[in-house]
Amino acid sequence: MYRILIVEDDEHQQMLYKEELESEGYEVELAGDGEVAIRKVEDEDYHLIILDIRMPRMDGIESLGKILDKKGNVPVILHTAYSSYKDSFMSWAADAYVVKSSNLDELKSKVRELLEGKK
Amino acid sequence: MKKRYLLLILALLPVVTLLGISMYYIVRGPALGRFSISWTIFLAGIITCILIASFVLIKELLIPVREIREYLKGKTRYQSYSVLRIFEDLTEEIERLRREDLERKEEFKEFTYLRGLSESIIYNFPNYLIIMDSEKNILFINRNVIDWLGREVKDIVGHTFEEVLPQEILGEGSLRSLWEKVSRGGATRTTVDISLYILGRLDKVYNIYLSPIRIEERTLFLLMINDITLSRKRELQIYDFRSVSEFIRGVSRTDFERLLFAIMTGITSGDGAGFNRAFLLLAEDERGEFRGRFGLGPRSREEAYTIWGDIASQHKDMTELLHNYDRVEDKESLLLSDYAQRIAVPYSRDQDIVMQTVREKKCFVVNDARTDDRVAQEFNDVYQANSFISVPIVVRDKVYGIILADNIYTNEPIDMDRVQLINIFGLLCGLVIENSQAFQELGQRMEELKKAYSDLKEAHDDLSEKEKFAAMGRMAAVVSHEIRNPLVTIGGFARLIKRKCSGLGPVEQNAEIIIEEVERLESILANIMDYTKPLSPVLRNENLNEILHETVRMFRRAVKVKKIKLKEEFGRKIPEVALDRRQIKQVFINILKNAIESVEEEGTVTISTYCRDDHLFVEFRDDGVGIDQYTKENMFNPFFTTKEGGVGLGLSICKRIIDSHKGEIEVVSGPSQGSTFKIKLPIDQKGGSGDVQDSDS
Repeated sequence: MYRILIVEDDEHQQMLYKEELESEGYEVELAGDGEVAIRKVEDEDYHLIILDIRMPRMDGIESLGKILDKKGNVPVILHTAYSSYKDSFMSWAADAYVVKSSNLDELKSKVRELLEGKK
Repeated sequence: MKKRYLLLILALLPVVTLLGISMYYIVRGPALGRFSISWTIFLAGIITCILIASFVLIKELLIPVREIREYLKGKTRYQSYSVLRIFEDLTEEIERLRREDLERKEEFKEFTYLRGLSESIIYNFPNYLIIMDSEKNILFINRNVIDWLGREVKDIVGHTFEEVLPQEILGEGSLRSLWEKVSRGGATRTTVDISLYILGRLDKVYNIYLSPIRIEERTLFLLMINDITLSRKRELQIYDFRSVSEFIRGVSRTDFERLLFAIMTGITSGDGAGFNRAFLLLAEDERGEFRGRFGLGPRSREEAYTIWGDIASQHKDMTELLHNYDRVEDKESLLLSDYAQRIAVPYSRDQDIVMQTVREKKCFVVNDARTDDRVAQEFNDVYQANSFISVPIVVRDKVYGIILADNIYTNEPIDMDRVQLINIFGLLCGLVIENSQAFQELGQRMEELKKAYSDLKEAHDDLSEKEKFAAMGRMAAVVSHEIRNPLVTIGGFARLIKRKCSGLGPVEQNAEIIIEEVERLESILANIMDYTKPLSPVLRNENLNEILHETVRMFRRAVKVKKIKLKEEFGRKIPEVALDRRQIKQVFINILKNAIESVEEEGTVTISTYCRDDHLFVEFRDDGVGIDQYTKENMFNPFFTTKEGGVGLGLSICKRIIDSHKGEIEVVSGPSQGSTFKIKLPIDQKGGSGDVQDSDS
């Protein structure tokens, strides 16, 4: 079973993504900000990380750099309400860029693609 | 002096008496015996007297001798009562008499002179001077009267003034009534002006002065008639000149023709300069000649008499004549345009009077055009006046035109007086034209400034409009992101609910509503965010027809439902153009969507592409409802929408995209005539804002 870390500061969204992805058959862990996420990445291995950008303390772009420093091979999906970060070169390091939407189909398909494509 | 002699006599008397007594005793001899003492004293007295007389005489004689001597030496002048003095006195007396005589003669001469002078003055008095008795009989006249009446003295003096003077002066309300007034003893001195007209033109003005004079109990009458024609004409000329000037002041400075008409009226009005006709010739550099522009005056002698007669009988003054311009419908005819335009003098005719006027910038009079070398035959044939004046109109030191004026019908001579006046009108004309030109230049300058101001204002409005939209955009971006996050949660959970409650009827349906509404909101937000996001097209060489075709396919279903005909009229030789496929496609989608929405069922939308002048053109033509003016002006502004629930960003995004491709987008439309969106893209995109990448990269 794939383990996914969702880094998201919005509790409601955390609940939503957890429920949706678990229903897809993944094991989901949550982190409320970049710092927590990095600690978790240090301690445990994940098959995939879904990273929000706008977060308190440490934002997603900064976290992405640090995560890749530690676990360079883990696929990361940047998941944000801001489509503009797509043009920021730091975001290119991520494996995918998904603009948040109430319709999670795109996110799910990207997750599936990254995990199963890797397999 | 006499006192001195008296004292001398008194002093000598006793001495001489004693001497006589002693002589008596000495000579008392027999020879003298018969002499008594009294005789002796008497004798002594006589001798004394003789002595004194001799002494005095000698002394008196000696004084002048001394004086003469001294006089001759230059030491003194006569002082004493001497012979010379007497002589001198006599001389003085004679001199005085002579002087008096001379003075008298002088006085007499002066008297004679004065008499002669006064007689001469009266005789040669410029006015007509007549002295009459109370029976109207003429007693005295001066020479002017003789010249004036053209009769001999004997035919005038002794007759009554009524027999002698011309009828026009005697007429009702003039001399006769004046005489009645004065001779009845009512008035002392009376004066009246009589104006005489010929054909409506002021001919003569007389000032008549009648006054009783009393000489030795006899009452005579002094009649003085003064010809004031010249000064009255001057007054009228000044009045006319002022009328013209005032009229000009009231005329718009760009109403050239009216201004020149006023000046020409001044030149031809009967009372003013009083020329029969006047013509204005303007320099036409392109044709190299002076050509008549217009003229003023009667066309023939008959017309002259009719017109001038009318003017006189209706007592039209200058102001009325000036306003004639507005009353007359046929300006061409009034201004003799047809005739004037036939008058021409080419620049090359160097010796011509007109060219001479131009060269020397002063006026010239031609007295006999037929014999004058300076007047060409062909000019004479057209102009016909034998005597005329040519006056330059100088504007900024250049001869702008020429005024020609003549007395073709009355044959009056062109005197200095008129020359001066027409010269002034020439100057006025120059000033008016200069003023008018300056005014026009000013007007042009003002127009330029106005335009510059309106451009500036437009730019300013445009800028503030852009700033407004930019601020709105920034705000919209912030708000959109803040809304997007909760929407994700709402919509996401709604989907979850829908999935988990599948088959639960109303719950599933309600969840579906939430999902749809959230989707709608998200699509609005996506639009807003797209708009606020900076555009940097990634350019690749693309086939425009292909993109269009793809776009059309996307609408296949909508077209089918609405039974719309979608025509593709793509040009065959459309070259590949560097563009951002995704962005351009969005433009096509937006426009095509609008077009399909605007047409009725079974309407037609035509998409055509063609190539012209280094540009590619894409046209979306529909036969829909069309676009009104207000919408047309604002449709490319962000947040402007006519659709209910629309955000108003579709077309403004299109415009931004086309702008970033250095292209143009415009719309041709009117209500109920359909609309055509025209997109123009440059074929050479090397100067584009993005990097061109090969399409196969």
